[in-house]
Amino acid sequence: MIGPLGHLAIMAALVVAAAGSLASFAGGRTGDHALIAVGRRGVYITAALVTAAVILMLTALVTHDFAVKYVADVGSRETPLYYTVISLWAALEGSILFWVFLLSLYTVAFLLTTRRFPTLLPYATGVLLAISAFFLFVIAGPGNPFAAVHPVPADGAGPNPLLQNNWMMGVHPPLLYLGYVGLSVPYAVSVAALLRGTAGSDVLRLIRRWALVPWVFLTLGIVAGMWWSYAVLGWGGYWSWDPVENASVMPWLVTTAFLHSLQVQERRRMLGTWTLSLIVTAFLLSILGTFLTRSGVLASVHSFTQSGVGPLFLVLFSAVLVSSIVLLTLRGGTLDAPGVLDAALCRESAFLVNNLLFIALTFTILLGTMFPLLVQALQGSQLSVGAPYFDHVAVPIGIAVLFLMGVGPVLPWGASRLDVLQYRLLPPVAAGTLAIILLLVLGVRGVSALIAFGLAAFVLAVTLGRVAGDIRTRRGNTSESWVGAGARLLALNPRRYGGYLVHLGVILVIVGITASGSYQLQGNATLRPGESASIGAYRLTYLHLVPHGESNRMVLGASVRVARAGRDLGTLTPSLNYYKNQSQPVPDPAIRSTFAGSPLSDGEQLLRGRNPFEDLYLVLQGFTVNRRHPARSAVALQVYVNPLVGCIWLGGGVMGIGGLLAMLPARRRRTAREMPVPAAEEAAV
Amino acid sequence: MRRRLGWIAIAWLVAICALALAVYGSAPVHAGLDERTTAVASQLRCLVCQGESVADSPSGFAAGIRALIRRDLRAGETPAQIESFLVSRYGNRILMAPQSGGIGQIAWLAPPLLVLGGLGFVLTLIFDWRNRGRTPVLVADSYLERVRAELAEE
Amino acid sequence: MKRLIGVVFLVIAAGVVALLASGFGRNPATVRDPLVGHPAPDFTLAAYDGTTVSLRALQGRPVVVNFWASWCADCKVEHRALLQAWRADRSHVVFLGIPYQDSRSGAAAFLRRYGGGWTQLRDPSQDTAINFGVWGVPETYFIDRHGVIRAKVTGPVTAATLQTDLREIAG
Repeated sequence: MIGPLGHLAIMAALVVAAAGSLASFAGGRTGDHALIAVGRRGVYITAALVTAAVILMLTALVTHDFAVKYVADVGSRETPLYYTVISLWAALEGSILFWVFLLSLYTVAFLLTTRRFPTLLPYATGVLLAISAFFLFVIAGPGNPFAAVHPVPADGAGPNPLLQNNWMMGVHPPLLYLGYVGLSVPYAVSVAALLRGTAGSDVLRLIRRWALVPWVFLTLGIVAGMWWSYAVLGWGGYWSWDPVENASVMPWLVTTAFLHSLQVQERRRMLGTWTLSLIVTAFLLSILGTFLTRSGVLASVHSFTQSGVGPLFLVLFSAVLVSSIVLLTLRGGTLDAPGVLDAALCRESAFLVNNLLFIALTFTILLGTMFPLLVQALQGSQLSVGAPYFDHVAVPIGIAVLFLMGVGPVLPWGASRLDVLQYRLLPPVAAGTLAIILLLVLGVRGVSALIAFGLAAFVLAVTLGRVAGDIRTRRGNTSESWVGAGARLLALNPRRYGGYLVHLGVILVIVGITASGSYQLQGNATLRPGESASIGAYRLTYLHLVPHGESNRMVLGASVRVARAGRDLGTLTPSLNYYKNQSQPVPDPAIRSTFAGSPLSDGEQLLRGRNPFEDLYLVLQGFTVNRRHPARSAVALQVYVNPLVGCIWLGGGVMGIGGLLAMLPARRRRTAREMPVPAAEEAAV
Repeated sequence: MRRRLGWIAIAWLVAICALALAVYGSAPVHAGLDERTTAVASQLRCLVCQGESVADSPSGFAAGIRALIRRDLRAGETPAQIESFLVSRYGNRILMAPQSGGIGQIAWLAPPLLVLGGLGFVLTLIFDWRNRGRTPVLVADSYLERVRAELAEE
Repeated sequence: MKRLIGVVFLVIAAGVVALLASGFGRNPATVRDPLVGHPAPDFTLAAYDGTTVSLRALQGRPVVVNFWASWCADCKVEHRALLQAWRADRSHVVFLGIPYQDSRSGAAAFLRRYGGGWTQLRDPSQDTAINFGVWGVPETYFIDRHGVIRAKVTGPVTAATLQTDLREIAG
């Protein structure tokens, strides 16, 4: 019963969305209020129908209604409830349904919160409904999750083991989807602005707010994805430059470029068309990401589905690509003031270079991701592009971005005064240099890692210095305390300080990536009960196997006692998980995380010049069981020590909070006296 | 005077930094057989894995290749010889990165060329705009118009 | 000028779309093998039955080399077809099996259970497997009288593929 009902809801939603889209465009063109109202209602009705379809699908999943194709594909009676619910996005059809659901929620939220822009809204609504209609068409026809199954199976195979091995599977895909889908809104507003030929500052502010939302979700989604990869795949790393990982980071990079370029537009009215084309590109890359994930043209860890839906996505991608180019060509350029600068060395120039580097980084990742396809098409031969390529080509550009992150905030808008500049730069340069010397004294080696750490210290000093400078200026004008002045500044200009907080988060991420990438220890050991092995400061003693059964799997753990520098840290239990209908076990690593130590012992370690902040990462690779002589049974362990990995997760969280802060509206200033920040300095980020 | 002092100090710090890096950073790495094996293995893709290198993978395939690398290195073969042998057996797909010759050249050269070309373009733009900012009267310059359009469309 | 740039971008866009579309007909998992058409790498290996087999010594006769393992599910799938072909063609084609990453007892148990009488060779260091470019079993090589690899099947062989490939090396 659920199947036909769900399909009906989707068909109805498709009709309503398509009709609403047409009505919106017509209403926008003619200014007919009745038509515009029809489009608006179309949004709400589509959202209601799609929500109904999602609820029906969840019901089918939870009640194990195997007459529904999607449930037969991903469901199984043994799967725990949590994984049954989140298997809504475990395979292609369900994730498109989930995608449309999020898009309809975004559209409703956008309409409810946007009161102004009467001429733009109908067009933006029309675009959003058209995108909804496309995805609805996909699941109404070729990828129908509600299709009937004959005969009805008694049970299903359950989701892919990798997708039910960790609770993060319920967090990381929705965050990424919220990011990808959310880019539709700024894209729709941009298209509307181009169609109307109006892209004033208020429109760009609207676009900025709706670009920040997906930016925050993408940031959190990418970091959560790294965490998932680290915690599940069991190879001691978190980023393998896999096509799907690349696809998630490209829209993020371009949206970041947009958020920076926007500031030049706001201040100088320059680069308007360029800024719009960045957000359009971000949306295009998010579709490309979906295409690469879902079409199966590239092999990847995450692209767990292949289907005939790929060509449809290619049609959507081509349509958006071509229409965007045509629109930007015909309507762009009329939106900008002519480019004028007071000096060559200024904040505006820094933003131009920033945009160049972000675009170059995106291009490099895109090239590396698509290169196997290109070679296959041109030469018919196969090759792969992996970590060594990206490490050599993308990382230097990333280092340049890091450098610019320190220089940019120091440069004033308009004209630069060299004497001001040197005062601002001297302490950060000293901080960076001191950091490098200190690390060298502590025995840290490796040129590229030292450069990255030095730059991180430099950027940290710049960022903190700017904030401290603002607070000091304010305290000079008012009689507030340091904390009071800081809080007041934050309320007055959340964008600026949210931006700085994001920069601090980036520093944390860079430090984590550099440390764990350059100083990872790796080893393996085959141990019998009671035997020990050492790696770094750790001593691992294998105790015994601990098997236990769960409804959907058998978990075989190896209990390992861990001591660090002679101090007992308890036991870790890496395991092999055996899933039903799956011959190969899935290893489940055990991780003692970076910040698990006690402040006391960590402090003592630091005083001795030793880094206590590292992950111990154990993977159970295999075991032999000797029934007659249990003492001869052995386990094979792969061990990694990853310094400062926790900084990456921490930094991701800090970046997310910074993004949220930057979304807050600025408090109105009541008096002119409360303007402590020099006019040329506000809204820096 | 104060102004110049600041710059001298910055230059001094940067120079010290570079010197320290050059001295300590490039300290001769005593690469043992293990390190050299891992270095070669990390350039090779584990064909039965997803996105992992031969150095990272616990699979039997990777273990076999690692053993071969270790033995050949001990026998005095160079990493390049080992790589080209494996390419002759498994094809280019066993390399984690495209080779620097042939069509692989595109992948290696395009990004740096883009950065350099883009930097040149952006600098031209910045100085043009600066000059325009200095002239009191703005003239509708067709060249600038074009540059701006190009930037907008890129 | 503006239009021209637009057109240039449209052309680039068309190229990108064509490139993406070109990926559809292909399965990224299928591979072209560099050794097909080239002389097979020579090997001299000890057999399970105690004899020693050298590939060069077999020149003049067509040879089928099958890499397999007792832990591999696809090897069970292909075994029946292999057995039938060996029974039919053992008079003029040499069949060699090389267990890959397998224990001696495991391989022997597999053969006892599913049958098979052709020579099984030991390749404990995996050197021969790597030399042949083996990465996942089963993989089967068809070598002609001159010692040249004429065909390779990655994955389980079927009666049909065996027949065509055997005709290629024996015909």
